[in-house]
Amino acid sequence: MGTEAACPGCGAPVEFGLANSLVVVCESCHSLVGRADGHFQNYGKVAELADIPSPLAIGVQGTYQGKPFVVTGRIQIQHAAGGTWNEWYLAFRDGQLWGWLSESQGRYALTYRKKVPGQVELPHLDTLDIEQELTIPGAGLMRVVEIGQATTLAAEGELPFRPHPGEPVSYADLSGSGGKVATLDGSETPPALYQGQAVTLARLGLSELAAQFRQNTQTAAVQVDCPSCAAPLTVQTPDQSLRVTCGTCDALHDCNQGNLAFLAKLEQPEAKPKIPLGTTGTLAGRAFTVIGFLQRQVTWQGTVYPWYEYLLSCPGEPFHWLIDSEQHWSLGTEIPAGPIEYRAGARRISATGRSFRLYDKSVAETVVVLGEFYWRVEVGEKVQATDYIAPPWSLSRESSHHTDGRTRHQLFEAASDLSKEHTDQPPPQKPLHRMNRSDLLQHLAGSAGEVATREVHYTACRYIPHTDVADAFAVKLRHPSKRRPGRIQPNLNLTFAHVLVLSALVVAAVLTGMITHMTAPQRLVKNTSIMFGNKASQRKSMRHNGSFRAPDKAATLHLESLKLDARQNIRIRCHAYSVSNSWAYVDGHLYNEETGVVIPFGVEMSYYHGVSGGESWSEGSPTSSVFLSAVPAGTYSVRLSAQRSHRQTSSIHIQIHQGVPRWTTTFLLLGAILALAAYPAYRYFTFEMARWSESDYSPYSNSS
Amino acid sequence: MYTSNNFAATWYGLVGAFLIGSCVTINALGYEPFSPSRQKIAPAKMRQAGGARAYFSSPAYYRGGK
Repeated sequence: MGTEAACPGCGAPVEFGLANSLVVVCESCHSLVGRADGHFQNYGKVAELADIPSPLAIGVQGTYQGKPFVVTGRIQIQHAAGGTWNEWYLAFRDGQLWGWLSESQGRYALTYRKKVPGQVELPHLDTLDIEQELTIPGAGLMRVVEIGQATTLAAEGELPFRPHPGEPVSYADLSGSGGKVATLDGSETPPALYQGQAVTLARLGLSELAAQFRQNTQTAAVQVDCPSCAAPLTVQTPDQSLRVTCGTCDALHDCNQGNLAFLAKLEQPEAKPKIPLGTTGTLAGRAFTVIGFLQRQVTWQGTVYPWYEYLLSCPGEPFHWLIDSEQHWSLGTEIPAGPIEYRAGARRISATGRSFRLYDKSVAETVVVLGEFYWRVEVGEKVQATDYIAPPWSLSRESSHHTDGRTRHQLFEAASDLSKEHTDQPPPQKPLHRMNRSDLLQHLAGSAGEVATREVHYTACRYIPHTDVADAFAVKLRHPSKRRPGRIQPNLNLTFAHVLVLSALVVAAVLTGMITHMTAPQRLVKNTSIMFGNKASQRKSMRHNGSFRAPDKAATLHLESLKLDARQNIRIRCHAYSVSNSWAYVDGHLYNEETGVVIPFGVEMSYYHGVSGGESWSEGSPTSSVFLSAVPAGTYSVRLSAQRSHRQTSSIHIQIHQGVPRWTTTFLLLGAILALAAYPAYRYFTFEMARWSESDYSPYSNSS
Repeated sequence: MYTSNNFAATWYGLVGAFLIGSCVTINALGYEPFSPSRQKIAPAKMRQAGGARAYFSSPAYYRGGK
């Protein structure tokens, strides 16, 4: 049972449902009713809540990591750049533990206030810079991804702290590996630490709520008249859009919950988006509406390289970007910076389980703005963009603190001039010459009455075939050039499927060769010799072993009644004895007298060796073979005519085999398979070289 | 889908299977790709020369009367 009280502002009843809550927002008059020392106090009023559609509401119950919670309150906070987000308060264990659940563009992060150990001193926010790494107790190494100011605008429900509406509070957002998030809250000194995890509604046990929200959320588009030319305008996301342009008169309007206020007339070239604004379509399983269009460009050595970005909204999902670069399309959304292992100057970074390679560094300028946007977009806006690729993925890093592109020296001079012009202003906290670039930017922004928000954003995009985009939005799109591949266009010339198939073929070829080898019916048909010599030795030889012995350099031998089988190759192998720096040659005919089939053949044996320049060498071999194709089964004869170059070659040993296993066909087969692989490999590398030809960081160029 | 090129991979697979099949057939038939070519000589011609032994030793054979 909670504590009931009367609102000090209007007298309406308010109830503190939890023992540890400090403030309740009066539903009647929006007063912040606090309790301290047993008294109820009025801490002032907050504005009415902006209508930001959310699946969450006061009283929603869920579970995180096995611990049940209930949503008790929320505040709405405005970013210095204009956007507004919800921060919900989750009470665990009846308010003994509080969780802060931030909700922005369909993304959620749950943090808890952490006590910082006494020996650890968190840095003051003024000393931080974007991408700076900090060791956060209990979370390890984290990186600063945003430094800015935020202002509490509105609140509802029961809160564990006292908000200060309208007072800007400095903060720094940090991101770490595994979805870790942290915020340093500058409202205290040293800053308070809130540390936790990026979560989804499913992880909070609110899957059904999220699905219901997606189903029920309809496009809350509103029809308004352009304040400048009175032309009718449709604002697709009035709750989130901060800037809206008029397609009729090119006026740029501030947008506050769908209410437009004229800001400026845009000086921009005429542009006609290929996908008209307001078009709806389903892409990558999401129902998108095209709400904005940007033409952006980089200028390199006087040449302008433009591309086009379409801002897509989908209820309950973060905004997405559909990017058209030379008819190559990609779809992406912002991803948390924490898990990205960024190192300035590194050619490779890891993110989302992929290794990305540096492709381009440039200053991207916005030249055309059409439609509506969730930030205060401007024509002429510049960001430092670094693009990394891992086709079909890209990762773009955009840091906005380099917006004006001025060097530290230029900023120092501008700050010095400002100090001379405004001598009445208090001096800066530290001398200008000791300020780094970030400090100078902050100082200049502060002097101009602005809040310098320094941010770094990472957008991960995936290549989408133009046909998919055309089908999704029912538009006609040109084919991309085949000669100039897109920077993240998948290289289909040598895919995993190719490698798999070609590898399987190589394995199959080797296996086939091995099986053929093992099952070959190798059979000796004849084993004999031709012996060179005089007539006496010829007779002796004939008497003793049946071998023919010829005189002098030439000899002829006839082998008859050789039974040969069909479909088995024939090998005639000759070995010349005592051949040394000489040659021997056997000229032969395999024939069948009855059928007239004749196969002439020759076997050369030559063996040369010596010593040259202190090194021994040899060439050829005393053994040589010839393979003949199979002949029809039958009885065959062989006529062999031998010659020798020197008398030292005493004899030639002849062996005739059938069904001899051969690796030749296997090697030929492997060669053919490699030739098959060579073509896609050639196409693959040609494609990659064309892809990288536009980059200064090409792995195929020695100059980068 | 653009992340795979199954058509080309299938084509390579078919060509490869054909090559392997050809290789198996060649082995099964005892065909030798680099074998000297087979000739046909009319048996009557050999008999006329006095048999094969005499025929292959005869100048007629080496003159090209094969």
